[in-house]
Amino acid sequence: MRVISILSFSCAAVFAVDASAQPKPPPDTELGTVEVTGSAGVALPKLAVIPLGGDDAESSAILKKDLDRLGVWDVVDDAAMPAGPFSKDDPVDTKAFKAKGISVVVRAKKDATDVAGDAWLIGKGDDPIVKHSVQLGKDPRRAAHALGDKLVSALTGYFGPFDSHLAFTLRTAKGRQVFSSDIDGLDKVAYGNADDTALSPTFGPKGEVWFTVSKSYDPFKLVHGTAATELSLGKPGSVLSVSFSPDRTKLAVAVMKDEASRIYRGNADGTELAPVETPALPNRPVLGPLGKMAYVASGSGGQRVYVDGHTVSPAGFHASAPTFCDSPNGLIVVFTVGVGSGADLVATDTSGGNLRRLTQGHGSNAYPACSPDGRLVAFFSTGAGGKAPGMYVLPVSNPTRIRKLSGEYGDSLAWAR
Amino acid sequence: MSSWFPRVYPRSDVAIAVGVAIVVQGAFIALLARGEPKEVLVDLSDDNAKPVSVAITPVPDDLPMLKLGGKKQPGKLPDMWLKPKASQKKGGDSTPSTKADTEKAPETHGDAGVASDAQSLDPVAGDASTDPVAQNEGSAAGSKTGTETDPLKAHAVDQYRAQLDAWFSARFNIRGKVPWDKLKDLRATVVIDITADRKVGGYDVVKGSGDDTFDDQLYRDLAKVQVSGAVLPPPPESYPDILGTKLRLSFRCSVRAACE
Repeated sequence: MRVISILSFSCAAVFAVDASAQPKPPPDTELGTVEVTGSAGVALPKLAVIPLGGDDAESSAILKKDLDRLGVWDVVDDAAMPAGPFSKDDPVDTKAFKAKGISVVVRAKKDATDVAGDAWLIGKGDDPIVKHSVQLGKDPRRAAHALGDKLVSALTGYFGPFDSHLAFTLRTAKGRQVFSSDIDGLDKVAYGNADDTALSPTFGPKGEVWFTVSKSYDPFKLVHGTAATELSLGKPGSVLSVSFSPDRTKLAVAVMKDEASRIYRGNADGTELAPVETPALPNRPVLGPLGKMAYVASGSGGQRVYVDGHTVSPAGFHASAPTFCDSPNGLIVVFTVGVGSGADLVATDTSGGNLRRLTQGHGSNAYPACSPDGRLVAFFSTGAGGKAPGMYVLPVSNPTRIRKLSGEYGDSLAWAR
Repeated sequence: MSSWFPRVYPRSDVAIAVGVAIVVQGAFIALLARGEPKEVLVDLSDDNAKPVSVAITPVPDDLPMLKLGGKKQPGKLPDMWLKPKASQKKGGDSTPSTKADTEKAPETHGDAGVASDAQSLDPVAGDASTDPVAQNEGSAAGSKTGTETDPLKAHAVDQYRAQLDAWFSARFNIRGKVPWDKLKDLRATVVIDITADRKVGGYDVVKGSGDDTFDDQLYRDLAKVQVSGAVLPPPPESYPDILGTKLRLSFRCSVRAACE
């Protein structure tokens, strides 16, 4: 009893002092003082992927393509690298790479069971500073993407977005159907029936694909999985769109009834749905980081994008398909705006400030989907200047580096691990 | 003292309890005091700039509706990109860097265009023992032990610091407001309070530049950032604690092309 009394008093004293203490000193020892120089640019260090042939060629090519897509490095061509030949086991002549102005060197090699990757930070010794490997499993291509994600994590601190899936709708002979694929447009999976009309695919709990579907002009229902299993929400009307929070524990849906729509928020299992106050005709709710929600609704000058009740899209433009990107540019909202007869992607802060245009002169661009790591935006584009319609991707921090993902051209894109 | 303590607490017990509390508090204070931020200055100037390729946040400065504090022009979207023009040095007080990469000129736009040295791979102080990279690699099969060491964290920190530079630079509108001859020597230090949702909760200009125009613009832009609720870039998920609750910033413009 005596001991308990002493400890209780001691703890009370500690908490009392802690509660009245001054704010903690800055725990930002790694950041130190950040120099704000007036520059809005970030230099791209050069990265080389050592070209290997034979069994290693595919892994090397996938790794190189992924690292180039990321927009974090200037991935150099083979011609800009030191003269080879290179082999999978030879030491890397870091001095030769340094002489070429290359900061990072990566090598991927495959054996019977694994695909392994080494990375060198030039100037930090002759040994690789990162070593990772991934089991080949049934899909060596996917293993190469997963290896890229790991190397990206080690080199940048953010896990890479390449071992992931995209969900989208494509027109069919009689309707619209939801599909998913990997980042290369392969491993395509169909959901529901090709004769139905499907909308708004997204990723829900356990990575399952959710969407809304109408059969024979009946009201749209919320469904999930390849069999399009319905989840009844208990809300009369047509479910136009669906979104899950980043942790997939919360749900938002737009339901239309009697020519009026309403957005509801609740649990991912469809329980405790509560209406959200919005302007007229809300649709396409998107749940984002930090509890934020974006959606489209009527506004001055046409349909506009809102975040937590405030307009973020520019006045006078028809805006649609918002998505959140927790990106190197901060938490931003990317959406489509109508421009002339086409459309382009723009980004703003969640308050609507700092409007930036992400596409221009690349045909009509719509339906942005942010990568799981926030660094990339995938979208559908009609293409321009010899580029065919398809699914493209651009880095948020460097949007001119547009790369093609696949030849699929549809709408309602979502991207998740 | 005994008058307001119940009799069940003898004086000796109270004395022991106070002693234990002081020891524990002292330990807490010692732990908190260890984290004194270290000033890391990145020397950016025309002379040592390395114009490698530059990732540019397209901030269209020819469209006032998009600039902080500008007038809105409804019905016009910003141009996405402006091709860089060859900048002509004024005054001839600097010479082209001999370190320039002649193969690829830096892409510039608006306020951007600084050949930042922020991508330096030089390590900064970090705690290698707490390097969390290996703990956050996801669930992909076949993982073998990583070999990341402190330079990797330094690399990630450098990249994040460059992101913060770009984020605040895009919101600091000093360009054209102070003559270059004066501007190049100005520097102000600010401590930013970061909220749990990564917004600017407050700020304190701990050291002004001494120039009223510079400092007024800094106050004005920081106030706008705070009011706007703009959200800072996320720290690397492998190093989530590097942002902290306070961020020390040094505002200056040492690269003429970016600030004049």
